[in-house]
Amino acid sequence: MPDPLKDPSEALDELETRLRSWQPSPAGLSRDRLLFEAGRAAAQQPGMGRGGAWRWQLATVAATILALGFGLGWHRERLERRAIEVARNDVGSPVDRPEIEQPLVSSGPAEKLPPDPCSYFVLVRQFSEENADPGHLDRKPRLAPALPRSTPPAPRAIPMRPRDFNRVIAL
Amino acid sequence: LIEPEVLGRLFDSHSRALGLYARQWCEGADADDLVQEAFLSLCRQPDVPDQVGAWLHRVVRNAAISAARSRKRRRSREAGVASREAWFSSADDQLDARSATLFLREIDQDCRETIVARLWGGLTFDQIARLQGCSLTTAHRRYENGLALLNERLQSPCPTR
Repeated sequence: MPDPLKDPSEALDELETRLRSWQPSPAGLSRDRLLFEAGRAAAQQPGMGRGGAWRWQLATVAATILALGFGLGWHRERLERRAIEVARNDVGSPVDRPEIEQPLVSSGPAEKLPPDPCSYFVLVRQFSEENADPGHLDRKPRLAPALPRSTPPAPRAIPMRPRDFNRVIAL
Repeated sequence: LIEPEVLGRLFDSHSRALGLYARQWCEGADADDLVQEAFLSLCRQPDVPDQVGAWLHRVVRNAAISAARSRKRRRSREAGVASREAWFSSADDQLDARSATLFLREIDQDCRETIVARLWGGLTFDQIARLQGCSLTTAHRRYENGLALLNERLQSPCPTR
């Protein structure tokens, strides 16, 4: 039973002191568990410190917009270039088209003509053959076989000389 | 971010009172999880709040009320099991922990919340009034009424409980 002679405020103070001595149960609370969970939560947000999140988001949005702009610009330029090429192919004449150059030299085998018996190379070869023989001085010089008289000699191509100015005039 | 040493020190000084405070709405592991989540919310703060005790009580209260609303849809068997849980690890030489829990349970919800926040949470009446959304006078009145009821129960414990 409460003591009627006791001051109510004093009784409340005693009661408060008594109640404060009661220890709340820790139950399932664990400091280690809390620190582990806090560390894991911090590791899941790397670089998300003060103001870090919105900076990364802003940079990501800016980079995305820039990439889209470059992509659209590239696509538009490609379409214009393709349109110009199509227009040139439709309007262009054969004169405008580049001609395929024909090779100046025939690809077939070269035709071997007999050398002129009076040419320099034939005469030099003939002279060297005669000198290679030691008894060439006793022999009569070998003449080129005489051509038959019946057939007139074929006109020989006479090379043009600077002194043959009159021939040039005669042409 | 808050250093682990600071967090551990705050946990040691506030966790038990917050657990008791959360048990005004939730029971067992639910209350422990609420306290855990409150400290994790504290971790995500850039700085320690000025009145960290009042801040933690507010976080726990909001989460506990929200959890209690959803818990009403659960089966009643869980509440029956949890009601046997002792809120205190030790009372005093005149009373055991389970009886202390029963006495505290019998008090009105608002008065009990005021007493728990004041005695074990260490909050001022002004902080309690802002926490409960009532006036300072109302907080005082709830506290005194709750203490008077507790005093009466402690003076003449009911043998049926």
